[in-house]
Amino acid sequence: MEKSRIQYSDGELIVHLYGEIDHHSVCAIRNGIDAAMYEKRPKSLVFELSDVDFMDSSGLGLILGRYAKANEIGTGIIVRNPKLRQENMLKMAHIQKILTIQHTEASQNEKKAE
Amino acid sequence: MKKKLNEIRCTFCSVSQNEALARSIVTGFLLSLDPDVDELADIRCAVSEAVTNCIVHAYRQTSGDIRLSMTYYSDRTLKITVADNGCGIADLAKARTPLFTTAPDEDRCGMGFSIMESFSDKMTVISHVGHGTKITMIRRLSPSDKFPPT
Repeated sequence: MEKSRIQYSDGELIVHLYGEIDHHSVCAIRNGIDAAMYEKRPKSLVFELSDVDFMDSSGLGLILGRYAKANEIGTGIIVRNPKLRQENMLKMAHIQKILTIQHTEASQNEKKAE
Repeated sequence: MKKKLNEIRCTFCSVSQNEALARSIVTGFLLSLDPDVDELADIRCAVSEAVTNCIVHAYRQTSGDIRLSMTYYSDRTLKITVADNGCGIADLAKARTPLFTTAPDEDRCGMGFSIMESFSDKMTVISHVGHGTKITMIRRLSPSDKFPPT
């Protein structure tokens, strides 16, 4: 099953994650993200989490692990549209200090509609 | 007096596909308790962490059995154990420290124990180096008017 889609636009390398992100799925998508990051050397590496139904510490590890590499090539990391549970988990690991958590307007409107 | 109402015990191989299987077992087992959505998500995540630890750390380059058991009682407390016969943990205090990990190069972030701890009311770890580790988590679910089923 496809767990991620990677696209590049306007200096952003966007990694759209889907479904359940655990140790098993992370192993399958990690190398693809690294390869694309080194090829594009984007201004930002964006993890789009709006379609993630489940994430555990392996997902945190995926994001944190990319941080070290991204930092070396001057790429910033943005976590976009995490659900409340995932945002709380990110904060538990204090990683909001080293990366940006962002909620786009579209997902805000969705929230209001719910 | 609280009564034991249901129990499941299962053993599966330490392959990473079984992380999702373990979460499905949790969901299936707890469904009849009509758990709150967030509580169910907490417990699924806690079990996922425990099972991942068995695969990534306990059995490392080897493989073995992971034993998952869950029991629920009439007062809506849930007891979960996850046990392995892997390498064991030499320094438990260190292992339980947030952000500590023995495998940073594999993108482990050292939050497994912290997450299990925060998603359960009580967590105990018994570990013997060379013999294995057993995690016990207790979590009391909030009341539901659909439970006990009439």
